[in-house]
Amino acid sequence: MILDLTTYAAFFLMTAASFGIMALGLNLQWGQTGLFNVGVAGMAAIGAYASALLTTPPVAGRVGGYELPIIAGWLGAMVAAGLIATIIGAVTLRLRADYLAITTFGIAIVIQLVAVNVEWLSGGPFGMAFIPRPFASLQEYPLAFNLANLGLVGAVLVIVYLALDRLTRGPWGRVLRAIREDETAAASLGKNARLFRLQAFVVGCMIIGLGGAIQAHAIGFIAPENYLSALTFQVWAMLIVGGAGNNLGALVGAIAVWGLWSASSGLVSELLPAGMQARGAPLQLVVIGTMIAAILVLRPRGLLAEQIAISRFLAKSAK
Amino acid sequence: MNPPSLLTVEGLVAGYEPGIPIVRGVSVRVDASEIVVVLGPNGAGKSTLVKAVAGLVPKSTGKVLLDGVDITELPAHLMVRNGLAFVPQTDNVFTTMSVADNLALAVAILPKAVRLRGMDEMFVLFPDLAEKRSLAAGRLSGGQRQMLAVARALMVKPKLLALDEPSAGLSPKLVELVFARLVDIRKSGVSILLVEQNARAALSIGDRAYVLADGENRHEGQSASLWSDPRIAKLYLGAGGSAEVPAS
Amino acid sequence: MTLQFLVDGLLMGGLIGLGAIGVTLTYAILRFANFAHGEFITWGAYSTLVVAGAIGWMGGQTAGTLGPFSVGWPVLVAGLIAMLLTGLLALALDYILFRQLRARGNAIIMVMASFGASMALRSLIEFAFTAEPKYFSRDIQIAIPIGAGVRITADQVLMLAITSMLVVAVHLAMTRTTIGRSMRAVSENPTLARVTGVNVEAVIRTTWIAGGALACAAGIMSGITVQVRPFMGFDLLLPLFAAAILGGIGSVPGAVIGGLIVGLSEAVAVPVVGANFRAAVAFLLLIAVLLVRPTGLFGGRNDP
Repeated sequence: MILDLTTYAAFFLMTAASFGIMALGLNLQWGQTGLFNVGVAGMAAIGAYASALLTTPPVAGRVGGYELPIIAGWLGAMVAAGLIATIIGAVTLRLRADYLAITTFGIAIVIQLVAVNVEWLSGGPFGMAFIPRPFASLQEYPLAFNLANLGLVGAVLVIVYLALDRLTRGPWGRVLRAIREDETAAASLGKNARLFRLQAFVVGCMIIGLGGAIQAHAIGFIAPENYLSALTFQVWAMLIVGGAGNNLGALVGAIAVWGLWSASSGLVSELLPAGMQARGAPLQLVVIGTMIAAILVLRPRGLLAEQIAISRFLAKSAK
Repeated sequence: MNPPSLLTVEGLVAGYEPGIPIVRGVSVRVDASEIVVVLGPNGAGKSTLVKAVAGLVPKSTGKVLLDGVDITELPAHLMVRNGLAFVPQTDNVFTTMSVADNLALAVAILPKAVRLRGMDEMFVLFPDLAEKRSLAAGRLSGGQRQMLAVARALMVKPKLLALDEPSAGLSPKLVELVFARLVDIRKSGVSILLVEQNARAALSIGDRAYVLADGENRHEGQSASLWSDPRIAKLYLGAGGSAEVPAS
Repeated sequence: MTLQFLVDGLLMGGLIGLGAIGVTLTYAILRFANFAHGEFITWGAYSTLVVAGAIGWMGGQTAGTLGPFSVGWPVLVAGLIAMLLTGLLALALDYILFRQLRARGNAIIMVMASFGASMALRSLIEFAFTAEPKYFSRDIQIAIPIGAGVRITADQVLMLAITSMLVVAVHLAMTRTTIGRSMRAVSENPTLARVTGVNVEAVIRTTWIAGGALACAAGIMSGITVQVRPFMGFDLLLPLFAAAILGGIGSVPGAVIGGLIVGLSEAVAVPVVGANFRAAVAFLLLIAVLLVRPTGLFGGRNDP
């Protein structure tokens, strides 16, 4: 029993950690730089599919399948996400925050469309299977398997966290925050604001892509329907709930929201009569969606305090 | 016993942010059929004062009475129903709507019980606007826009017309024109509260004036006496514009 | 190439236009991009189904059809009722959620909240009705040739007629009535509107009700011509935003023309790129507008 609980806890924390990685990437974009990225699911998809293409066995009628080691997949995921983010960012980052939101939203939809329809690239609606799982040799020992994976993902999380911490405390972070507050002033200091914003966007997307790849390998298979707007919303919810707009808040939020998600899933299946079990998933979304809206209204604290400066900046730039 | 004032502002404290007042206890008074001017250097709180009276800036203390009615807490959009019409300094016409629509909007809001000047009357008063009635207000010249802004406010037959620096951005000739109009308006029985940076022009048409500084009353009196007071002229009125003072 | 795409394009464009009117007004008057607008479309369609079913049940008859159309009077009556109900839904959502956030003046939080509301509303529908598509009618309609290689069904003619009437009605309301002028005033300059005597709160309420009602009409049309499913409104969000931005935020004629452009573009592109990539067309149009002329066709200002 204890063993089962520990196994489950390890699995839970590992998943929360993978979301935490995504939340860190998003926080770099939003918390540090004021970029409103509503296309998180798209970037996660790119990371997941890139890694899968590199590490899975070959499949007829589809590219990829190079059976490379997992680490190569993860690095490939970051590169792919970074490349696509560079192209997108170069074109769209000059847009105002809410137009950027709509645009990134559209990009995620297009990415999902490609994932569903371009079968020679993505495997179509059925996605890709046989994605190698780390420590696969331990699969018969659930406790060890989950603990090992938790250790791995946790280690990656720590590395990402520390790297971001170093970056944001340093001169690069200061420039980002200066640009977030007042772009004109920052520009007058000779800093090319657009370049810095692009860097933040690309690095953030690379981290989100890495998170997507990690999740793909944790489960072992991916399908386009994993990358709908619900994923974007989950990660945003983590930032909002975590509240502080800083990296620690993002991790706290990841655990809290993932916890709520899992709990509500369990609760919903308990409460619903047998015949209605299939309807549990949407009900979960109702709960989460309502909760987020409620938090935004009732206790926006940290996130809002951090962003008051941004909203003043946006209000000024909108005149 | 003097007849009660049309507008009484008593000890008004107002500002955009609570706890940071810009107007710090100002009192002014406007009587029937008079033009009262509010002057002062930049940052004195003149604009904030008139905006607070109009209900656009939150007030923390003080009272505003219009014709005996306490309008201190009245929401901005109900001011016109109580006889107070305000002309802001900038963005004072709807540029995407036609001249006629701008005027129609002003009037339509009011209940029918209030007697209204017809649009035709307004076009007689402002013939320039008549020719352009279907034109989008954004296509008017600066002076015409100012006229439209004033016309819009007059459409509701206010008891008190409040204006925030109507001379801003206008050439001296246009300033003369606008101010001459204001005199006509006063003659028709409407009182005017005029906040101005252009002290020379304003004092030439004003009956009385208040001078504000740092959000407080500093001086007040008849226009003529303020005009000739050397202390005030030196401190506050300095470069009030290059227009010759027209005889009022 | 035949001109058949015109029929699909105009129909689609008309219904996108109706939805986009609500989006553009909300954006201009309430100053945020409402991601929940798609759910008004979805709720509108489902409400109509439910009310029509109730009417049919009360009337004790199976829903007879009117003439050559696939829908009967219960649907039409239900549609009107549903438009009112959807307008009230929009108002309720504002009251519970957006109004609380408005005072803070942070558009981004409002967009986030609308995203959450969208998720909750859509999932409620999915929970109540399941994800299985529903239909107003199972009748197959005969398409009648009208020349130039174009065929059109009676339903499609009805939809085009109703869309045109609604658009004309909205245009007249915006240009000839006090409330219409008030809305245009608030959309341009809320402070000046207040000073002119406009009750901005009343205008905001009207905006929600009108936006919701028009979205409902769009939903009914989409439901009749295609199907009713929980994601129907959400899948229209991208075309709606594209149309509203293309037409210029705040412009009702712009939203309609933007909708027509998006609809026709999709209809032209689909034979080439396949129906699956419909949404990509709207996206490309959106990007093009934002990069070349962000104020849109009729937008007078650079920001809502």
